[in-house]
Amino acid sequence: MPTRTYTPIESRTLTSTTSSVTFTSIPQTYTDLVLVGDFSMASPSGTVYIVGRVGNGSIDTGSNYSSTVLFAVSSNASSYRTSNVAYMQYDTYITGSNRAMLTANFQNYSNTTTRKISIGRTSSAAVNTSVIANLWRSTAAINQINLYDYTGNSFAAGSTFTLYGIRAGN
Amino acid sequence: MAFTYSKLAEITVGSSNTSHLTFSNIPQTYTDLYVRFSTRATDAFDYGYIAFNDSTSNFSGIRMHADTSSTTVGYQTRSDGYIYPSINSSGTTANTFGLLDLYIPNYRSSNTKTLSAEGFYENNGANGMVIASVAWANSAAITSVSFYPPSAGNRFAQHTTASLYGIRGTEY
Repeated sequence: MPTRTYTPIESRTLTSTTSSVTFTSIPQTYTDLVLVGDFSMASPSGTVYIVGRVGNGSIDTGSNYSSTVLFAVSSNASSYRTSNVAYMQYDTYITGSNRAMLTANFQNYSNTTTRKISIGRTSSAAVNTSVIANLWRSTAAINQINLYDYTGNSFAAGSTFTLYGIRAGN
Repeated sequence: MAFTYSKLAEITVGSSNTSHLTFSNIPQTYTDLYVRFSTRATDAFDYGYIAFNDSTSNFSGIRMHADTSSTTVGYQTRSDGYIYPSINSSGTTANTFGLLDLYIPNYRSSNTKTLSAEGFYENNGANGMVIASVAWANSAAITSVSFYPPSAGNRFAQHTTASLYGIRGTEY
């Protein structure tokens, strides 16, 4: 029997406004993870910025992240970097009630040898599109992933977030 | 056995070429869709338009693109499903095909559908690439996905392919 290689680990559809989404107890039996979000914000006022953190046993809130971002937003295409900050960029600019999506790939998330890279892709149509490389400067395995809005807004009810595990082989 | 990531359909263009690439009657039993186009044109165009349910209306988007004609990254906001660049035109290196990937989460949702698109064409020294976000402000579930060349009479060349995948967000 063929082995399933792309498996949904957990899927959330928010039933109320939620300030932060966290996946915990992520199985360590896959090779890579893919997080897919399709969401809007509860009380949109101005621009929000979605960021993320990861951890092992608990979310790392220390300044152990860095990002490189290539983005286009409304009237500008540019890039920027962050270093020694307390979150990963997912650079999703949402205005008003627009919907946005993000996909975040975490390669080799379960090893304890390498620091963890995440490649992100975000889209908020007519507002921004971005591709991001994130680094968590830890060799610990990732078993928690957290997303939230840096400006303090909350995800709206009806937003969905799904975590998939990918196996590299049988 | 049920699979999470399933290939639903594939199109391969034959010797008569084709005016569009369309997946119809998409099953409504998945969570997300992933579509991959590998395309070459019979004439000099390197971009196309996305359509859902045979409609090119109610699209908006922003794209960031780079090509060898400019050393800077360009951007553009759109009110249609225009994706440039993503197709190897007829004048490019023979037997070379461009690539366009679309990821459409919650394609059955009654919300506006927001999708990501990445595309490029390569020509051994001249090339272009794009990343884009696109929204389709329509409450209908997506039942068909199409990729059209820019004008009537334009055609996709033989050996162009398109693949449609369904992704389930839950076990079943």
